[in-house]
Amino acid sequence: MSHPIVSRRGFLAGVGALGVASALSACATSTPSPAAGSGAKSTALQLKSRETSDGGRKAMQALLDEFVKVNPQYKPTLNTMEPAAFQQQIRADLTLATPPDVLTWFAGEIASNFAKQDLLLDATSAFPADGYSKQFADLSTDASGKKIFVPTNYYWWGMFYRTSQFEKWDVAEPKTWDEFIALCKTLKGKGVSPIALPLADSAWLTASWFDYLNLRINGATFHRALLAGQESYTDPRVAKVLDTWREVLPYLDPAGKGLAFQEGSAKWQQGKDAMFLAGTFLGDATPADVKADVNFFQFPIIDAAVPVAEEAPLDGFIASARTANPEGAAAFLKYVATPQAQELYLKTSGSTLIPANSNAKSPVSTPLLEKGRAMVASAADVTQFFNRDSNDDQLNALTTALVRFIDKPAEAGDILKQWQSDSAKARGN
Amino acid sequence: MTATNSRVRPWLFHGGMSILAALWVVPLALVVVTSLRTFDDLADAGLASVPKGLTLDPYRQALASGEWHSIVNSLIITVPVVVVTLLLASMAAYGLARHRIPFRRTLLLLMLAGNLLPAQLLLIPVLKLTEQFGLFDSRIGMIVVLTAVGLGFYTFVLHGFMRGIPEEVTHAAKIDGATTFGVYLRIVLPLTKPAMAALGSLAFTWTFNDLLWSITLLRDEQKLPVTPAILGMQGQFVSSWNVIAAATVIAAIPTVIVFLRFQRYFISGLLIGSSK
Repeated sequence: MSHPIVSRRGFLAGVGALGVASALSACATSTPSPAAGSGAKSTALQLKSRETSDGGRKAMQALLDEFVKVNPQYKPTLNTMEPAAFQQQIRADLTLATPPDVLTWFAGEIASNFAKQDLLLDATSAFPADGYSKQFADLSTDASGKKIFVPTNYYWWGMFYRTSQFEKWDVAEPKTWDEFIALCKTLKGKGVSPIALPLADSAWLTASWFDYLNLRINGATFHRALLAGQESYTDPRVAKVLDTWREVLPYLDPAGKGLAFQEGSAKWQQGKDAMFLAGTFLGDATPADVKADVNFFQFPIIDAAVPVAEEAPLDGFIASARTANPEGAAAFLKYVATPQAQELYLKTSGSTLIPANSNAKSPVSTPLLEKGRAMVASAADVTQFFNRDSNDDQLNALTTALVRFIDKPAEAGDILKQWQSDSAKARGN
Repeated sequence: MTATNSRVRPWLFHGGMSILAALWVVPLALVVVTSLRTFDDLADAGLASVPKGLTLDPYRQALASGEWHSIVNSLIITVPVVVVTLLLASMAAYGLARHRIPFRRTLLLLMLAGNLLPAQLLLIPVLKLTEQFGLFDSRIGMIVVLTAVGLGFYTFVLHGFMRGIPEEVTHAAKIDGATTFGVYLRIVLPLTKPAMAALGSLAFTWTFNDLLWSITLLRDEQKLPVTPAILGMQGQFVSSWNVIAAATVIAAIPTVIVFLRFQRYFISGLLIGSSK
């Protein structure tokens, strides 16, 4: 007899409950199931790149175009993201249900960490048996012995200067630390700011100074142990690095703290700063008519007894472990490891890079490139760069310490203690 | 004395204001000038130098790199967000302001509290949620998230405005036989128009200029709105300042149009609560 009375409040509560229930069930059912589609494998192949320059984009597209000629069964697409956003997105990207299949990345600790979390595709089958030096092969291998990274090219760091400016000032490349200090003194005497170090948006540049001084004074073995947390920043050997750097501080461009990297490099290019410790990207940014004038010398030798190590950051590709198209991703990695692909990339991008596969030739050979290649080839050891050999948290600890050191060089002891504690904290102990 | 004072004052005022206005315009002018120079000129002489010559090339380059496409994406996201947010916020505000809904104060405070959370805190959970619902890397997902994110604030503001509308007006409409929805549509909405226009132009600017959510929730270059697209013009080490400046100038046009169009409402919208 009685009608079921539905009050408005009850009705709303019911609707709400239904909504929550359906939302929850959506969560439960649509849980990412990577590679669950056992039958139909995807043929799409997305390459996510952080090469935003015109040349870099064209070169990536050229790689995909060539790849598809040999492997017409795949449908590759290129997706480019600004490097800082790329770096921020990559952790999320690798854990997506539908991740990008192949990504640009670099050798070093971060890639090894991804591998430890099982985020990277096993690239052992794609890694060529010959062409890569043992060092590059080791850098591409994770702790369990499988290849996770395919290197394609590297660049080098050095003290960059302009030939015409050095001629104008009548100075020559120094070989040793004492000669370098003398050169700084001479330049300052001529009213030229000797060393550019723009820090406004690029405090990470201080890492290049630390890396090189540590490599030259204490050697690559100690450097690696220090970055891995096996040695302490309060070690007297690290204090010696800062003591040596202190000799140079008066020769840094005092305006550098307020300059962005690009402003700093413009100043260097105009000859207002004489030298710039940088990678080859510094020269790549100069106008076409300046490029031939760009030159560099090796970071001066401090202790002749220490085996010479150079910084040569290695770039290449990784593939996501959750890719829906593992065969395609592996095929692409196999392709970019070939000398032809690396030559094509360098020719199209026009950047000053050296192919990682030793069977590849540099398509555009300049005196600068040959000088860099010879320098890296003759080095007893090669490191990547501070944050590539450790990670970005460690880099933050470094920039905090070193920027403070530039301001207050007298507080070195305190700074190193703080650095050690920051570094340990970032490592999680 | 007072006579001279009253003659000097306007001069001081206008002189001071001119200086302030000039300071305000300098960065904008710098962007416009930068956008009209060649890259080699900028790299050679630096930003703070007299241009060697002016060219429209950076604009051509910016548009050639697909900026139109990203502006269209921005509009595809922004317009629905503004319309849907205002619609939902005005309904919610009407309900909360004029009806005795249980926990209405708690609801309102909850909405406000949601706004006090920094967006960074929500990024990862929202990313995972959109992925579960299949909205990740889609413009629809962006619309849903941006609408949800803004809703609390707009409701809060509109709630304040609607409380200022005299109860007698709505009562009179009710006596004349208007339904609750009728009162909302015919009485409350027209009276809230200035506030809606003001909020609308704010919502447009905020949504159009959003960067954080779009680089979190979108991946495909083809779907990116204009802010991350401009970000993508930056290189890892060096960027073509002139092209980026040109792209920025172009990207500012839609917001400027919206603001100029709604400026009138914006000012009257700000004033409407003041005489109460």
